[in-house]
Amino acid sequence: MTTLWILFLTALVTTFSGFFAPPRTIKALTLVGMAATLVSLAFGWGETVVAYGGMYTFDAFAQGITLVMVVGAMIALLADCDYHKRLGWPAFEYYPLVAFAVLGGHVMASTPHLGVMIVGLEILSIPLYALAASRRSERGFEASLKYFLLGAVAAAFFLYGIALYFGATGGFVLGAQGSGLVWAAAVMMLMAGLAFKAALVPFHWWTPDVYQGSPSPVTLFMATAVKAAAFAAFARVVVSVGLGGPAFYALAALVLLTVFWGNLVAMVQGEAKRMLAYSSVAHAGYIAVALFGPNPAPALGYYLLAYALSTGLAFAVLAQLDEGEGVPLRSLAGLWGRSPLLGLGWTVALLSLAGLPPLVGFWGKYMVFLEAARGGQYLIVALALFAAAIAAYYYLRLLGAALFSKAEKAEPVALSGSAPVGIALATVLVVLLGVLPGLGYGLFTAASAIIR
Amino acid sequence: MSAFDLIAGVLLVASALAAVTLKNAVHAGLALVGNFLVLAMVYFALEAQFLGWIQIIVYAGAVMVLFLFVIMLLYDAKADVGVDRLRWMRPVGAALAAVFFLALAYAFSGVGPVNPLADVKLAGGLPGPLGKLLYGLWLYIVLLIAVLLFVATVSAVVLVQPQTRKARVKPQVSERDRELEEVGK
Repeated sequence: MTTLWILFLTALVTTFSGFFAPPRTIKALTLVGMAATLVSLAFGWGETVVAYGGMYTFDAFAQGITLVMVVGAMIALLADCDYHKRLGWPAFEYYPLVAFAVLGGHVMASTPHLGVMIVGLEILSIPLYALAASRRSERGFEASLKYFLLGAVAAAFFLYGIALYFGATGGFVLGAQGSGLVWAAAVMMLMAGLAFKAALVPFHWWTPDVYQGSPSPVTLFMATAVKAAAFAAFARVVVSVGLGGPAFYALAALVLLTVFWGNLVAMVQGEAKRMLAYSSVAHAGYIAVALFGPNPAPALGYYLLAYALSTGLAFAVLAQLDEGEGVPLRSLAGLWGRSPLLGLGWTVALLSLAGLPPLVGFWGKYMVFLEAARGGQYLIVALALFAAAIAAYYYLRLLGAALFSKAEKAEPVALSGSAPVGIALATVLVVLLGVLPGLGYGLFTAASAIIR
Repeated sequence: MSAFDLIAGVLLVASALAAVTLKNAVHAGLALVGNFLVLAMVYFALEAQFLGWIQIIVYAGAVMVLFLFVIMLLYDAKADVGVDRLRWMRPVGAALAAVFFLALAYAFSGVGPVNPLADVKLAGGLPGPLGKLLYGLWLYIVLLIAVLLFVATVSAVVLVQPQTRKARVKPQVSERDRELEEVGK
C-alpha cells in the first residue's frame, strides 16, 4: 500500500503546489516522489501486498513493472531540462500528469481484476493524451488526437472483452477458466485491446505518428513506462487464459507480424524518432516472445527493464538534439565531437537495443528467447532471432549517422541542469547491468506466479 | 429474442449511425440523445433502474446539454463537420465491421443465461442495494474512478491552455506602468 500511497500523494501534491511554485520546483518534487517510490519498492521487495479484497495485489511481478515505470519516468524527467529550456517550459501540470500516469500504470499492473485494470488503463492514458500535445504544434495536436481516438477504440475493445469475459466465466477476476466461443471471443477482445497499448502489429498504427509528434521527453516516457504497464496487463491476461488453441495462434501471429513489420519498416525511415518508434514496435514483439515460455514473468520483467534503460537512453539523447520538429539523421552527424557524453550514450543505447553482448539489451533478448525455447517454440525463437539480425542494420545506420559522418557546422551541444546526470546514469546502468547480468535479473526471479 | 430486444437493437444502431453520419453537428448531437434514451430503456428492461435514471439524468441531461452548448458556441457548427479524406476506406471499414459482427453473432449463438447473475439480488437495481455493493466490494474501483475524474479534469485544463502562461499583472500595476511611460515621453 505504501507504494500506491506515495505515487498518489506525489501526483496530488505536485498538482496543488503548482499554484504557487514554478515548474522547476514541481519537477524536483515529482523526482523526489519517484525516488521515494523506489525506496518503498526496495523495502517491500518480494513481499506480496494484498488489499481491497484482492483487487490490489502488489506481487513480485507488479513490483518489477512498477520499478521499470519509475525508472522510465525518472529518465524522462531528468533528461528534459535543456529540451524545455530551448522550446519553452510547459505548464506545471506537465509533471503531475507524468506522476498520475505512473500511478495509473501501477494500478493497472498490480491487479488481477479486469475492472480495476480498465480504470488503471484510463488513468494511465488520459494524461498521455494531454502530454502528447503539451507543445502547441500541428504535429503535437495530430499525435494527441490520433492517440486519443485510437486509445478510445482500444478501451472500447477492452471493455467489450470484459463484458464477454463476465458472460463466459461469471466474474471479473483473471484466472477463471471458461469455455466455448464466447470465452474465445472474450480472450481475443481483451488481447486486442491491450495489444493497442503495447503497440503490437497490426494494432500499432498510432505508434510512429504519436512518438514522432510528441515532445521527445514524453516519447521517452511512452516508450518505457507505458509499454511496461501495457505488457503487465497483457501478460496477466495471456498467462491466465493459457496458450491453448486459438489464443496460441493469435499470439504467434501478433509476435511474428510485430518483429518483422516493425524491423522492416524501421529500415526505410529517415528520421531518428520515427525509426526508434518502429524499433519500439519490434521490441514489443520480442517482449511477447517470453509469453511462450512456462514461466514468463522473470524474463518479461527483465526484458522490460533492459529495454526501458536502452530506449530511454536513446530518446534522452534525441531530446537534447530535438528542435521541436523531430531529429533528421543528418542532425546526428558528428555527435561524438559535439558532445562526448551524448556520443557515448547514443552508442551504448543503440548497441544495447541491437542486442550486442556486453550490454543489458543482449541479456534481455537472451532470457526472452531462452524462455520461449523452454516452452518448446523453436520456430518462433528462430524467426524472432532472424528479425533481430535484420534490426542490426538500421541500428548500425543510426549509429553510423552519428559516428562516421561529418557535421556541416560542428557546434557543440551544451548540456545543463539534470540532463547530463540522467544520461550518464542511464549509460552507467546499461553497461553495469550488462557486465553483471545477475544483478538485474536477480530482481525479477521472485516474480514466478503472475496469476495465483 | 423478444420484440423489445429487436426494436431496441434497431433503434440503438440507427441512432448511433445517425450520430456519426449526420453532417450538421447539432443534428448529430440530438441523434446521440436519442441513443442515450434508448439505452436507458434497455437498462430499465434489465431491471437496472438506478443505472437507467443515471443514464437519463447525467448523459442525456447534463452531458449532452453541455455538448450542445459547446457545439452552438462554436461558429463552425453551422457548417458541415469534417471532410472525409479517406473515402475509399468506407467500404473496407464496412466490410470489416460486417465480418466482426458475424463473428460475434456466431460466438453468441450458443449462449444461455449466465448463472451467477441469478444469485445477485439487487432488488431491481435500486440505489440502496447498489450502494452497499459500490461502497463495499467495489470501493477500490470507486476511489480509482475519483482519481480518474481528477486526472481528466487536470488534462482538460492543460489542453485548453495557451502554450505559455503570462504572469498575471494587477490592473493597478499596468495602469502605473502606462502612466510612467507617458511621463517618460
